[in-house]
Amino acid sequence: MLKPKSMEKIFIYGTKDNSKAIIAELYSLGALHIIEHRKTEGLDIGTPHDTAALCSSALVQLRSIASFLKVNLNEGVKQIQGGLKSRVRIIEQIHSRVMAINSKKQINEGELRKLEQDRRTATIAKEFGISNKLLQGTKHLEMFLGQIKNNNGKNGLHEHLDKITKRYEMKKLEQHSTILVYVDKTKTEEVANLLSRYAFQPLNVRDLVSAVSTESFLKQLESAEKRLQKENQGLDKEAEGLKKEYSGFLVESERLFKEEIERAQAPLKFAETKYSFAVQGFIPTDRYDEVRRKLAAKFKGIYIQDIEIGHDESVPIKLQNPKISSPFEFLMRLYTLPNYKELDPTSIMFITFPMLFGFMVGDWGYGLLLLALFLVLRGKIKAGRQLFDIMIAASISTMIFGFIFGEFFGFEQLLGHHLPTLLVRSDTENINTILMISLIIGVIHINFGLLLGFINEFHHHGFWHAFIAKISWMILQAGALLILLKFNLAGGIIMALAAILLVIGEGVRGIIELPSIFGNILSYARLMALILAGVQMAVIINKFAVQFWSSGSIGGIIAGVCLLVFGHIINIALSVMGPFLHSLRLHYVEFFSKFYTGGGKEYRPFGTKE
Amino acid sequence: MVVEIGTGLVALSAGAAIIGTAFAAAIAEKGIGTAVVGAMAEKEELFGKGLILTVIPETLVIFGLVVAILIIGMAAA
Repeated sequence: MLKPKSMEKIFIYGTKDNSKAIIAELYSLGALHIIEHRKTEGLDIGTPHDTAALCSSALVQLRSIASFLKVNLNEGVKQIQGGLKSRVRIIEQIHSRVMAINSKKQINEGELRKLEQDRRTATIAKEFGISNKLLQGTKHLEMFLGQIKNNNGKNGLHEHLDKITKRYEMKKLEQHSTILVYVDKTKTEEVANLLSRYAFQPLNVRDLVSAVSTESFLKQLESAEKRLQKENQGLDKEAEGLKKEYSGFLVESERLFKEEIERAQAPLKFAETKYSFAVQGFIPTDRYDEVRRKLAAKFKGIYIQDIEIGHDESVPIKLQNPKISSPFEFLMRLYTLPNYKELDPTSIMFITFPMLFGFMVGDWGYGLLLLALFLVLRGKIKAGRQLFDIMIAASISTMIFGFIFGEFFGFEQLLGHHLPTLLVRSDTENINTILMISLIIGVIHINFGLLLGFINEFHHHGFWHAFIAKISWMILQAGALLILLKFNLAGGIIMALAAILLVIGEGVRGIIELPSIFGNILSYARLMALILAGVQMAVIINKFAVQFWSSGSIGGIIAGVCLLVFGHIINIALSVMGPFLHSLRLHYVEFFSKFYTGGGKEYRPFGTKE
Repeated sequence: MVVEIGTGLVALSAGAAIIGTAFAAAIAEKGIGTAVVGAMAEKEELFGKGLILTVIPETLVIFGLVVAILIIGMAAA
């Protein structure tokens, strides 16, 4: 419970012709945490199997199909049979069909856009009231039809044209800012230059001119549009059909390909020679025999060796805690996982974290509300389940401390009865008592940490080292306690002794660090600070609300209720954030610094999903 | 309400203890917070450690609070 799962190191050596089968077996066993082999002079890393490239490219195709057909690849999986190769073939077929649909659709859309432009040109020609055949220009006349920017002054264009030639005709459609100009062919170039200054954009009239009349052209456009739209509908239907037929297949294939790629690329982590390969890794002790037996029974040319775990070797960490305290592993991951040699404090945090939280909030009305809130959230949001489990434990502890302090939403009496209480927190007379309790909690918590540190050091470096590194801190505190109780001489001697031990243990740094232990203990005064803030806030809210109520008027009662509801909502929000962070901090900084190193890497066995 | 000058001075000095430490904590947290957000942009997993580092200077203001309470306590005695 207090230790990470015990691991064994294994060395597997096999011939290359076996490698695919051995990898498949290891994958299905899902127990081996592979140590990546780094390329050395003698031993290269392995080459991935040929299926890796095949599956990777198929996966790319599959994903593009899925995005086109809008298939959600994370949806549930139907079991469909079929080998890898046949799957790749089917995917290639679907891919080419999807690509055909896609390109056809794009062409159609381009044509639809052109139809829209032609329709616009035709409408403009209609508004000019000019026959479509005249839009071509004649033997002596050049025609300009197009849009210009209007902001250059309304009459400017006329004046400029006048300067070039008198032999011209211009019409203008204000609402489209479109102009139609006929001009003597000899002046074409000059007029074109002039128009380009007005950002002239000619309309394409070629199709319109070749039609019989503007009306018949518009009719043609309409029928062409209908045809294209119908075609697009057909394409959409085809895509829909493909989606219906293959979405299950695609989802399943994606999973299979991903797995196959993982297997096929596994040799990249292996050491390899021309005919053989070798892989090192960690297996949890309780599965070690099973893995060994299965591998040895299944394969002939395989050699398995147990390796002693080195002293400073980084062993993958799998935390093992009872189900009830395992949510608190979340808090360990947030900080850093323990290393292989030290204690896993998850189950300790399961007790101490809610205690500190509850001590700070300590109101059974708040506790009840928070409990209900987090139970609901836990059901609703799957991703945050661990965090909500932690908060549920904290809420229960809040309720327990609420009974001890006799508080219900800041009220200390209910229906005229005083709630039973051990300590009235809202009374300012009691601040010093609460401060003392907070510091005593600190002393207990920190010394518990030192004790855990002693155990860690004892396993690592032996008794004497553990003694000077951890117990001397306790002796130092004992000396300080004696001085507080006015035994100055004895206290001084004991503290000096502890200081000497620390210097032996940690060198000059020990002296510099001496005051830190008292700083750490004083840091637990935050328990009192947060209690003070939370409780006084609740009391003030209640006091004002009662004042509003006792005014008797309807407005007063409504204001009182509003104040009560919103005030307590805000106070609860603050009461969750503050105590949560500070309880966490007291653990991470004050508690963990006494025994915890951390830095463990998570155990990720080959063949399991994250 | 007439308050004796001594009482006022006690209140002021208790306030000063909080003011000073609160400013100190704020300045320290400002620097750490900025750096942590920067580090987190590079590496998301640093959230836990960043959080801890950010709240470390909070201890300063706690000390201030303790001192303030001690001042008031001494004055009352």
